[in-house]
Amino acid sequence: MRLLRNPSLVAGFVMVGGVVALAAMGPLLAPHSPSAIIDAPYMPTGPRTLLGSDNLGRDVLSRFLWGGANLVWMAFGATFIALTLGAAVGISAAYFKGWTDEVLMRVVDLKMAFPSLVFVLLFVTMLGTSLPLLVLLCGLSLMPGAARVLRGAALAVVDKDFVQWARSVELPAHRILFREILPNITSPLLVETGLRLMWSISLLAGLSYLGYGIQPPTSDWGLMIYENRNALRVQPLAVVCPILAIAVFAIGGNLIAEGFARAFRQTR
Amino acid sequence: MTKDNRLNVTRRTMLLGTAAVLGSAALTGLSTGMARAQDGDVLRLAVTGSNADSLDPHRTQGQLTDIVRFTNLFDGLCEFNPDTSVANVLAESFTPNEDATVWTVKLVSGVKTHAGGDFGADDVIYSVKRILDPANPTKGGSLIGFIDAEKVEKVDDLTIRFTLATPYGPFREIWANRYLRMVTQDFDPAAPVGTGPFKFLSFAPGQESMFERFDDYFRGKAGVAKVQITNISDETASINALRGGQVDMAYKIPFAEARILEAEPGIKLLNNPSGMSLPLYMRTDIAPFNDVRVRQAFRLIADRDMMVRAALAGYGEVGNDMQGRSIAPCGPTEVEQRKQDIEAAKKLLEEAGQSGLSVELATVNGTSGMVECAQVFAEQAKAAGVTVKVNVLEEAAYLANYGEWAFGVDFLNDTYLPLVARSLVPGGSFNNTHWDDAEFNALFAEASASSDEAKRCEIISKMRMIEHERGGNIIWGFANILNAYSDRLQGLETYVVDSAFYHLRKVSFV
Repeated sequence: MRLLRNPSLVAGFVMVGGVVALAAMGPLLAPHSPSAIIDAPYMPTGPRTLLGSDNLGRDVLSRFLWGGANLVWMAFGATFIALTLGAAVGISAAYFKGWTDEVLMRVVDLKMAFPSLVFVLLFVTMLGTSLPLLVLLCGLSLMPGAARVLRGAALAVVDKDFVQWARSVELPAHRILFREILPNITSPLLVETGLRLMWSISLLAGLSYLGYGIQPPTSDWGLMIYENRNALRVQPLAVVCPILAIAVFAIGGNLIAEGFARAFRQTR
Repeated sequence: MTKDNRLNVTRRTMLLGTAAVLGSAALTGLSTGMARAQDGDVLRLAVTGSNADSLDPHRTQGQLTDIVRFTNLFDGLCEFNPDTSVANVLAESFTPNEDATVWTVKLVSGVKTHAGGDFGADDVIYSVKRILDPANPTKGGSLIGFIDAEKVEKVDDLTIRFTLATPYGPFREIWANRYLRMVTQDFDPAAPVGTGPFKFLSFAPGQESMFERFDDYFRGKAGVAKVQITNISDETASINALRGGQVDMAYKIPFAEARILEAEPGIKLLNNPSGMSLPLYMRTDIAPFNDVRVRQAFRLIADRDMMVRAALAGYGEVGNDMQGRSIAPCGPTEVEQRKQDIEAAKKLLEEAGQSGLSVELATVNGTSGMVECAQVFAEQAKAAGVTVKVNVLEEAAYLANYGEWAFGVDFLNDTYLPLVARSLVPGGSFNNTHWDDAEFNALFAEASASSDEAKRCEIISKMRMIEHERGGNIIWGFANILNAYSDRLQGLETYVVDSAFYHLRKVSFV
């Protein structure tokens, strides 16, 4: 209940939840198939196309309602991969210390030297684009940041009595990592969830915009921005609607992170 | 008494300050205007290019910046008029023998080169040998492959005799091609010397080049003192440069943007009714497209009107599965326009045992409309139970397998016979369909050998009928080529094969 009194958190959940609901329910509400050609290109709003038509004469509203499904699940997927791997790497480095810490953190540093977009583009250019590959690459590219933060959080826990006790009774390492340490770093983990969610949707939409993400004729918000960017002045809705949805999702993710961070500070 | 150091702002100082600001702004505007008036004779172009840019008209990768540069630095023996007809330039006359195996070319006299010398037969022979050099294959080489370089002889300083291994009727017309420009002897691409309306000044590959007017040009001085060609590959950046007054002409205008530009003050649109087709090609040598019924079914799937409207935003013309938007001087080929017929397409696919066919369509963001037409076709194919997966590839990936894709999108723009030589007969470097039709090949050989224009037109008509009946391309439409320019310019004409950018001598400021 205390969390419900946290305005950032509530606003964040409402925004992210709203976009997720739009992405999940949108296809059921769309008046046309997202690939059906309904009108001439870039027509303004009319009785058949409530938000006008896009670069090929497809209904902007239908493409918008269909366009979030892939992007949103991919953003959650990439966030899940980034956090799972980040947590595994970060906690292991903090717990084992010594050369394990050195090796893992240098690998993380090496990865951090590559900007996320460059990293993903490198592999996509070599291997081609497929949705599972994009999710995996985005997850991997966002992993190092999570690993660094979670290592820092875990370092404050590994020397505590209950961990030392677990070591002394020779509990298996994986049990100490995931049963003893992980539950005690949930607050930074939740903060990271919000942040990684924001980064992953930005990265995925950016890839679609650059033509390396979801491929046409699939409907996708990033792709909608790319396909209609030249006609911003005659048909702004085809660009503005997806931008708004992505912005709301990203800001929502940020607010969730901020809300958890604030709640975390208050409990300390 | 203590002096107050604070600024004492009165109404008078405020008025004086405002006047000073407005005055300086007016002076700045005036000086900018003066600067514009002074350098107004520099024609500035935004054209798509790359780091592989070159000043060599023969050994070029064929990017647009190269073509714009060399078409203004060098002349050909002939050139295209705004329609598809051909005019003599450096050549005064072409005289064949009876069976079109020996052609005597007389050059225009008094043509000066940029270095001040006289252009003559030796320069032509040097250029032809350079184009045909087997050690350095050129784009023009395949166009004049019928010429034996060893049998190009100088008759006198202004006359050359070409002896051909096989007869070639449209010998004069072929020389209008942009890749067959004439250079001078001992040509050095770093300091190019030609006979064109502009002389070389400076060149930075991938960035910019600057030319100046050649005052001794034999067809009269160009309308502007200098030409500056800037590489701008991004369409939006190029349009914005035009809007902002940084350039006077922009080559690459996407169809979607055209409607907006047409309504914009200060900018004019050049809507070239080009002969450029964007065929969906089907490989006729492998399944499923080796069965003519499948090819015809796919042709019946296409709603051509919608494809032109959606993929080209209406800036184009419907095609009828035959190359050549215009085959002037020949008249149109009388064949009924093919229209969408989903039921007939389904029936043909069923007969061919290919109901519910699923294929991949390879395309690339090359010229405007290539990705869009693939998407529209894929949508239309659903009605016939055909699944078309559009595969938008990187340019390098697309070109790496060029000629291997079973089903893909390409673009072609040329007059009919050169286009056939390049794309519809075995050995053509653009023959993506791998089409090898004995009757068509024989007709092509016959048309190439004929110097009788009426007979050639009759044969071309038969060839186009064969294309329509059993060819490997879905030629659903012809795309206009759109350029934009400042309304301060005059003298720009629309072209079917060439472009106003290749004829900058005609352009001047109002």
